[in-house]
Amino acid sequence: MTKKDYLRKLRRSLKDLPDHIIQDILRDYEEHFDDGQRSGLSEEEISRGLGDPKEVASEYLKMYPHAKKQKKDSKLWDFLWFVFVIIGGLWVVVNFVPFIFKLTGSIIGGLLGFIFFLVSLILVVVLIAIIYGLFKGKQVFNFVVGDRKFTFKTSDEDRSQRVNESQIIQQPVSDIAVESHLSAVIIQQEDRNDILVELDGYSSIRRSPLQVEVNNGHLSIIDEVVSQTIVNGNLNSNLKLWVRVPQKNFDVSVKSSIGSVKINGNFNSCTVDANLGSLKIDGHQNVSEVKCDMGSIRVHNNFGSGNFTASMGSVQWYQANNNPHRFIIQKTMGSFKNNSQKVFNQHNNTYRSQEGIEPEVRIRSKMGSIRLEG
Amino acid sequence: MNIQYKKGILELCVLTLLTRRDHYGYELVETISKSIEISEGTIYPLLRRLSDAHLVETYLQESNVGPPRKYYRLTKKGEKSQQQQHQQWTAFSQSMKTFLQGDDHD
Repeated sequence: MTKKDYLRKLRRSLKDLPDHIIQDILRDYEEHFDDGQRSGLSEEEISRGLGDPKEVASEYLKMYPHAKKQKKDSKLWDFLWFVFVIIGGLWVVVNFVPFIFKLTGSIIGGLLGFIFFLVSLILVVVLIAIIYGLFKGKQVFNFVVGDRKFTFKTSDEDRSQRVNESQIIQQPVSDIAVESHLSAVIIQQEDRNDILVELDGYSSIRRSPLQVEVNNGHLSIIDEVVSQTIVNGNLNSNLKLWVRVPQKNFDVSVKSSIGSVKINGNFNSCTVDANLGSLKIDGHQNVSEVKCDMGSIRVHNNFGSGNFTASMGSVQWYQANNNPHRFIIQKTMGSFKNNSQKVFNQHNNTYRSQEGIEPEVRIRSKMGSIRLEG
Repeated sequence: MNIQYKKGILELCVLTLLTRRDHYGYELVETISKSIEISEGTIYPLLRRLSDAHLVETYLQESNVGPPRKYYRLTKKGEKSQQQQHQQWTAFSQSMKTFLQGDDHD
């Protein structure tokens, strides 16, 4: 069997798995063929060595038993649900139209009857569309909300795909910038020498592979969503983007659209901008700039200067070391709770600690509550 | 050699090779198939399973001869698992040897 034949047979036998897994698997075998040919083997010999592609594929299919099963279950469920809706709709029409005729006389009754007739017509059209979609696996509904287009599919071929991407960075890095449009971000200092970037979880949303780039000691990680496709109206994602870094003084900056952000370790500076998720920062940061639109902010044991802005979520401040820096907390909404020994002077929504020389740390919250401990 | 035996020890073989240094797929296949006759295609599903279980992690590294290769390396969890499996194998093969020789002096 040639390389091309082997890969084609393998692909065909793997077809029940999510596309990105198939591509990943085929990539491994392509590499194997390349390496084999480089060491002087023919495509035939390599294919023979690998064994029957069907058997190879069955090993993978055993690994992901849910890939196929889930599809069937949900299709059946969808189908039964829509049948139920249609029968229910027709039942309403059949039972209530004569009843309303009797009750309200011919004019109103006739009008309502006509409306019910239209409704049932729409229901029938929807049913036909759904059945058509189920068998053809085509997109049936497109909704436009604002400037975003949402596509509802009756086929759920893309539903909750397993995502597992990882990359190790061995080049020297001084600052890390993470931009996440979907996954939660966790930056964790560990006992290691290189940086491991790992994206793990399930997602029903189409996303492009993680973009990881090192440029002049600047590590940039971008997790991008490809399209606003919601399969069966489901927006499932539990993706976590782990960035495991050595114990060094990095400059860290994180921008997150949906997922929450957790930063654990001692960094030189730390800039976080989260639109929806909550923020949790553990460790010592010399300079912190934190902005959170909706989620809560929790900072544990923070040093140095900082600027904290929270629009809606609560802010919790745990301070273990009674360092001399001054904190300024500003909030628009939500309560303020101070569990630390520090005395705060309140003026409108601004809280100032009495100690310290310069206003080093600022916490601003528009809606959430603020809690300080230390 | 019986196919079931091989499947069981293949994982230990892969993990053991990775304790020595990081390998790319073809290297692993080549080295292992020198000692044990295997159908080479089964190593890649195994590697994927190990990676899903976080016993190994993968990274791409540029090669001089072609596109970047996928390298496999052991995680801390993988190291522990290798040690455990190694011990189990040693104990098992020891008792099996004793059993087969039949020298069970009462």
